[in-house]
Amino acid sequence: MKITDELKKRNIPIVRIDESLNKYTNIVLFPEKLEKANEMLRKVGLPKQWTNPKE
Amino acid sequence: MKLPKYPLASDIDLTTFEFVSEGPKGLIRKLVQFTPTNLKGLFILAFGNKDHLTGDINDLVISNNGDSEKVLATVVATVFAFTDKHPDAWIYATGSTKARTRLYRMGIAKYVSEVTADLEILGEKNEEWETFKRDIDYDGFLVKRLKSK
Repeated sequence: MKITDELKKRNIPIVRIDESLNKYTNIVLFPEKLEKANEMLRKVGLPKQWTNPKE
Repeated sequence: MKLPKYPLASDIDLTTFEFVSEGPKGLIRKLVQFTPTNLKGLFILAFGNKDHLTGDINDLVISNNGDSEKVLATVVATVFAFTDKHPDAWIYATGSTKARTRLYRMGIAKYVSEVTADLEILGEKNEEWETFKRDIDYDGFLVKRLKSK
Protein backbone atom coordinates (compact mmCIF):
# COMPACT_ATOMS: atom_id res chain seq x y z
CA MET A 1 0.00 0.00 0.00
CA LYS A 2 1.31 3.45 -0.83
CA ILE A 3 2.27 5.50 2.17
CA THR A 4 -0.32 8.15 1.31
CA ASP A 5 -3.04 5.49 1.26
CA GLU A 6 -1.85 4.24 4.63
CA LEU A 7 -1.92 7.75 6.09
CA LYS A 8 -5.44 8.34 4.80
CA LYS A 9 -6.59 5.00 6.17
CA ARG A 10 -5.16 5.79 9.60
CA ASN A 11 -6.43 9.38 9.62
CA ILE A 12 -2.93 10.69 10.25
CA PRO A 13 -2.45 14.24 9.00
CA ILE A 14 0.75 15.22 7.28
CA VAL A 15 2.51 17.65 9.59
CA ARG A 16 5.50 19.81 8.71
CA ILE A 17 8.01 20.21 11.53
CA ASP A 18 8.70 23.90 12.10
CA GLU A 19 11.59 24.42 14.48
CA SER A 20 10.47 27.97 15.21
CA LEU A 21 7.57 26.40 17.14
CA ASN A 22 9.98 24.63 19.48
CA LYS A 23 10.08 27.79 21.59
CA TYR A 24 6.51 27.03 22.72
CA THR A 25 7.28 23.46 23.76
CA ASN A 26 7.78 24.11 27.48
CA ILE A 27 5.61 27.20 27.75
CA VAL A 28 2.00 27.08 28.91
CA LEU A 29 0.22 29.28 26.36
CA PHE A 30 -3.24 28.91 27.93
CA PRO A 31 -2.80 29.03 31.72
CA GLU A 32 -6.49 29.74 32.37
CA LYS A 33 -7.47 26.61 30.45
CA LEU A 34 -4.94 24.60 32.43
CA GLU A 35 -6.38 25.92 35.67
CA LYS A 36 -9.88 24.97 34.46
CA ALA A 37 -8.71 21.45 33.70
CA ASN A 38 -7.02 21.06 37.07
CA GLU A 39 -10.19 22.35 38.72
CA MET A 40 -12.19 19.77 36.76
CA LEU A 41 -9.85 17.06 38.02
CA ARG A 42 -10.39 18.20 41.60
CA LYS A 43 -14.20 18.34 41.32
CA VAL A 44 -15.07 15.67 38.77
CA GLY A 45 -12.09 13.44 38.08
CA LEU A 46 -11.79 11.15 35.10
CA PRO A 47 -14.52 8.77 33.92
CA LYS A 48 -14.59 5.60 35.99
CA GLN A 49 -14.52 3.39 32.92
CA TRP A 50 -11.19 4.91 31.95
CA THR A 51 -9.58 4.61 35.37
CA ASN A 52 -10.87 1.13 36.23
CA PRO A 53 -10.34 -0.82 33.02
CA LYS A 54 -10.95 -4.18 34.72
CA GLU A 55 -14.62 -3.30 35.44
CA MET B 1 -12.04 12.66 8.95
CA LYS B 2 -12.25 13.43 5.24
CA LEU B 3 -13.19 17.09 5.60
CA PRO B 4 -11.14 20.00 4.28
CA LYS B 5 -8.34 20.97 6.63
CA TYR B 6 -5.52 23.46 6.68
CA PRO B 7 -1.90 22.32 6.38
CA LEU B 8 -0.28 21.84 9.77
CA ALA B 9 3.12 22.74 11.16
CA SER B 10 4.33 21.47 14.50
CA ASP B 11 7.14 21.62 17.01
CA ILE B 12 9.42 18.60 17.27
CA ASP B 13 7.33 17.08 20.08
CA LEU B 14 3.99 17.33 18.27
CA THR B 15 2.52 19.33 21.18
CA THR B 16 2.26 22.76 19.55
CA PHE B 17 0.72 23.13 16.10
CA GLU B 18 0.24 26.09 13.83
CA PHE B 19 -1.96 26.64 10.82
CA VAL B 20 -3.23 29.63 8.89
CA SER B 21 -6.92 30.37 8.53
CA GLU B 22 -7.89 31.99 5.24
CA GLY B 23 -11.07 33.92 4.72
CA PRO B 24 -12.72 37.33 4.33
CA LYS B 25 -10.73 38.65 7.28
CA GLY B 26 -7.49 37.65 5.59
CA LEU B 27 -4.82 35.31 6.96
CA ILE B 28 -5.08 34.49 10.65
CA ARG B 29 -2.45 32.35 12.30
CA LYS B 30 -3.79 29.80 14.77
CA LEU B 31 -1.90 27.92 17.44
CA VAL B 32 -3.04 24.65 18.99
CA GLN B 33 -1.32 23.37 22.09
CA PHE B 34 -1.54 20.16 24.11
CA THR B 35 -0.45 20.86 27.68
CA PRO B 36 0.05 18.30 30.46
CA THR B 37 -2.11 18.71 33.56
CA ASN B 38 -1.62 17.68 37.18
CA LEU B 39 -2.65 14.15 36.24
CA LYS B 40 -0.09 12.18 34.28
CA GLY B 41 -1.44 11.31 30.86
CA LEU B 42 -4.13 13.98 30.81
CA PHE B 43 -3.56 16.92 28.49
CA ILE B 44 -5.60 19.99 27.72
CA LEU B 45 -6.24 21.01 24.15
CA ALA B 46 -6.40 24.75 23.63
CA PHE B 47 -6.11 26.99 20.62
CA GLY B 48 -6.19 30.65 19.77
CA ASN B 49 -5.07 33.32 17.37
CA LYS B 50 -1.39 34.11 17.16
CA ASP B 51 -0.30 37.69 16.64
CA HIS B 52 2.23 37.41 13.82
CA LEU B 53 4.16 40.42 15.11
CA THR B 54 4.32 39.77 18.84
CA GLY B 55 3.68 36.02 18.97
CA ASP B 56 1.04 36.60 21.67
CA ILE B 57 -1.84 34.13 21.77
CA ASN B 58 -5.47 35.19 22.17
CA ASP B 59 -8.19 32.58 22.74
CA LEU B 60 -10.97 35.08 23.42
CA VAL B 61 -11.07 36.85 20.07
CA ILE B 62 -13.80 35.87 17.62
CA SER B 63 -12.21 35.70 14.20
CA ASN B 64 -15.34 35.35 12.04
CA ASN B 65 -13.22 34.31 9.09
CA GLY B 66 -15.99 32.19 7.57
CA ASP B 67 -14.14 28.91 7.98
CA SER B 68 -15.10 27.60 11.42
CA GLU B 69 -15.74 24.09 10.11
CA LYS B 70 -12.37 23.91 8.40
CA VAL B 71 -10.71 25.27 11.54
CA LEU B 72 -12.43 22.63 13.66
CA ALA B 73 -11.47 19.87 11.23
CA THR B 74 -7.87 21.07 11.42
CA VAL B 75 -7.94 21.06 15.21
CA VAL B 76 -9.26 17.49 15.13
CA ALA B 77 -6.36 16.63 12.83
CA THR B 78 -3.98 17.83 15.55
CA VAL B 79 -5.67 15.40 17.94
CA PHE B 80 -4.81 12.55 15.59
CA ALA B 81 -1.23 13.76 15.17
CA PHE B 82 -0.76 14.22 18.93
CA THR B 83 -2.30 10.87 19.88
CA ASP B 84 -0.27 9.12 17.24
CA LYS B 85 2.74 10.01 19.37
CA HIS B 86 0.87 9.77 22.70
CA PRO B 87 -1.57 6.89 22.12
CA ASP B 88 -2.61 6.57 25.77
CA ALA B 89 -3.25 10.27 26.34
CA TRP B 90 -6.57 11.66 27.56
CA ILE B 91 -7.37 15.06 26.13
CA TYR B 92 -9.59 17.60 27.87
CA ALA B 93 -11.08 20.54 25.99
CA THR B 94 -13.39 23.34 26.99
CA GLY B 95 -14.07 26.81 25.63
CA SER B 96 -12.68 29.97 27.15
CA THR B 97 -16.32 31.09 27.38
CA LYS B 98 -19.64 29.23 27.60
CA ALA B 99 -20.50 30.40 24.09
CA ARG B 100 -17.27 28.96 22.76
CA THR B 101 -17.84 25.66 24.54
CA ARG B 102 -21.23 25.53 22.88
CA LEU B 103 -19.58 26.18 19.52
CA TYR B 104 -17.22 23.28 20.12
CA ARG B 105 -20.16 21.10 21.11
CA MET B 106 -21.98 21.93 17.89
CA GLY B 107 -18.88 21.19 15.87
CA ILE B 108 -18.33 17.85 17.58
CA ALA B 109 -22.00 16.95 17.13
CA LYS B 110 -21.74 17.59 13.43
CA TYR B 111 -18.79 15.29 12.89
CA VAL B 112 -18.92 12.80 15.75
CA SER B 113 -20.17 9.99 13.52
CA GLU B 114 -17.07 10.37 11.36
CA VAL B 115 -14.60 9.91 14.18
CA THR B 116 -16.30 7.36 16.48
CA ALA B 117 -14.24 4.57 14.95
CA ASP B 118 -11.06 6.31 16.08
CA LEU B 119 -11.95 8.49 19.05
CA GLU B 120 -13.98 8.02 22.20
CA ILE B 121 -15.63 11.31 23.11
CA LEU B 122 -17.22 12.06 26.46
CA GLY B 123 -19.12 15.13 27.61
CA GLU B 124 -18.98 16.71 31.05
CA LYS B 125 -22.40 17.49 32.52
CA ASN B 126 -23.31 18.16 36.16
CA GLU B 127 -19.84 17.04 37.22
CA GLU B 128 -20.30 13.64 35.60
CA TRP B 129 -18.95 12.12 32.41
CA GLU B 130 -21.13 10.49 29.78
CA THR B 131 -20.78 9.36 26.19
CA PHE B 132 -21.18 12.41 23.98
CA LYS B 133 -24.72 12.95 22.73
CA ARG B 134 -26.01 15.63 20.43
CA ASP B 135 -28.07 18.52 21.78
CA ILE B 136 -26.74 18.38 25.32
CA ASP B 137 -25.09 21.49 26.70
CA TYR B 138 -21.81 20.09 28.00
CA ASP B 139 -19.26 21.99 30.07
CA GLY B 140 -16.24 20.20 28.67
CA PHE B 141 -15.11 17.25 26.60
CA LEU B 142 -12.74 14.33 27.04
CA VAL B 143 -11.24 12.50 24.11
CA LYS B 144 -9.27 9.32 23.96
CA ARG B 145 -7.83 7.60 20.93
CA LEU B 146 -9.18 4.12 20.39
CA LYS B 147 -6.69 1.37 19.74
CA SER B 148 -6.41 0.31 16.09
CA LYS B 149 -8.02 -3.02 15.38
